[in-house]
Amino acid sequence: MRSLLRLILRYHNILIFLILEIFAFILIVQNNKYQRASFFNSSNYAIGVMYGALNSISEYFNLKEINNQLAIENAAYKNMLANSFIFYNENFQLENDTLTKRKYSYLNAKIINNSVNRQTNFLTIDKGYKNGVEPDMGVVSPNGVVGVVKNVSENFSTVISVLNINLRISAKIKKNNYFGSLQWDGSNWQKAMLNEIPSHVDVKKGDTLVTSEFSGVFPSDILVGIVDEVNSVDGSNFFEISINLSTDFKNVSQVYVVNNLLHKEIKELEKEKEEVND
Amino acid sequence: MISLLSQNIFRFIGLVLLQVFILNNIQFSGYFNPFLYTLFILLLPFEIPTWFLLILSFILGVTVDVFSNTLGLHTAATVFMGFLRPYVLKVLSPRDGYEPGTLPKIGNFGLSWFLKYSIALVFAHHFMLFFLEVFGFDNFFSTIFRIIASSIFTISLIILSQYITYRK
Repeated sequence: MRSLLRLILRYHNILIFLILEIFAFILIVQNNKYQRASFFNSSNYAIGVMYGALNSISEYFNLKEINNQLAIENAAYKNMLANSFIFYNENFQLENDTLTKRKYSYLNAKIINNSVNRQTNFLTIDKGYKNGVEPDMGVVSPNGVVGVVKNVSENFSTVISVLNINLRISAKIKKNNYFGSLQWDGSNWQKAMLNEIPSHVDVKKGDTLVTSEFSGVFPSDILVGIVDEVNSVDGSNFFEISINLSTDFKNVSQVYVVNNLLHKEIKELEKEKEEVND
Repeated sequence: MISLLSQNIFRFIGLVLLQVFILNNIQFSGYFNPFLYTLFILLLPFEIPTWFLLILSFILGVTVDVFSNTLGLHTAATVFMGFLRPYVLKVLSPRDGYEPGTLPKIGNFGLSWFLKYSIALVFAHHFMLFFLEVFGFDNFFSTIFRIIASSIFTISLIILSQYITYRK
C-alpha cells in the first residue's frame, strides 16, 4: 500500500495528464456520437446571446448583399401570387382543398455564428424549440441547401453545415434523376463530392444537382450545386464527381428551417418495416 | 506576485476573446488557422507546478472549445502541450538553469531560444488538434500540410505579439 502511494506521488503529474487527456477524449467521442442538446455548445443561452450581440454588429457590413438577395427572392414570390395570373381559360376550374395536404412548412432564421475553415463546421441560428425547431430538420438558404439541425435550446440551434465531413445528403442529378450521396471532402469550402453515381450514367460538367425526394429532411428539387468535374476511376463502377456548391457559405446570413410535417409518419412506418424484417 | 496573477488572468481573457471572436473567423483557403491562445501556456512562469499547469491548460482548452463547438478537441491539444512544456524547458535550459523570478520571454532569453521553445510546443499542439479533428489518418499529407501551415501562422503571430508588447 505504501509503495503504491509512493508510486502515485512520484508519477502524479503523468497521472493527472492521463486523466485530463482521457476526459477530453471522452468529450470528443460523446460529442460526435450523440445528437442531443448538450449544455456545452453554442446553443447554450449565454454564449448564444454573446454571439448574437457580435453578429448584430457584423451584420451591417453585409446589409447591401442581403437586401439584394431578399429583393430577388421577393420578386420570385410575387411571381407566384395569385393576382399575377389571369384566367386564360374561361371554363370553371374546381379546386378541392382536401386533395392537397401541406407537407413542408418554413421558418425564417438568422445565422449568428458560422465557420468554413474546420473539418467539422457548424452554424448557429437564432431560433430554438420555442419557435418549433427540432433536431434533424433541414436548413436551406435562398441559394441552396445549408445543413441539418443538430442541437436545439430554447432560443438557439446548432446546424451541421454541408461543410462537415460527417454529413451526407441524398442528392440527384436533375435531368435524369440518378441519385447519390453528397459529402464534403474537407478541403475547399466551395466544392463537395457526389458519390455512388454509376459510371454508365450520362453526367457532364454544368449539370444541375438538386436534393432527392429520399432524404426526408429536405423537400425535393432544392438546388445543391453544379457539376464541376466528372472523373472515372480505374477499377470502380462509380464516378468521382466534384460539385460547385450553390450556397456561398462565407456570405450566407438569412436561412429557412424546413419542417417536414410527414417526417414522423414516414419514420414510424419505416420502423415497422424493419421490425417485420427482424 | 499579485500583479503576476492579475496579469495572467487578463492575458487569459484577452487571448480567448481574441481567438474566438476574431482569429477563428480568419479563413485563408482552409489551411491557415492561427491558434494564438496557446501563447497563454507559453508565457506562464517557470516555477509553476506541473499539476497546476495541466489544470490551467485544461481550463483554457475547455473555454475555447465551448465557444467553437468542438468540445474536447482543443482541450486534448492544450493538455498535451502543457504536459510537454516542462520537458521542452528542461531540454532548452541554459547551462546554469533558469533564474528564479524570470518569465519565458524574448527579452530574457533572446529570439532564437524563444523560437525553439514556441515552435516545439505550438507544433505539438497543432499536431494533436488537427489529427483529432479528422480523427484518423486518411488524407495524412493534407493534414500534415495544414499543421505546418497553421503552425507557421500561429508562431508568426506569437513573435509579432511579443514585439508589440515588448517591455524592458
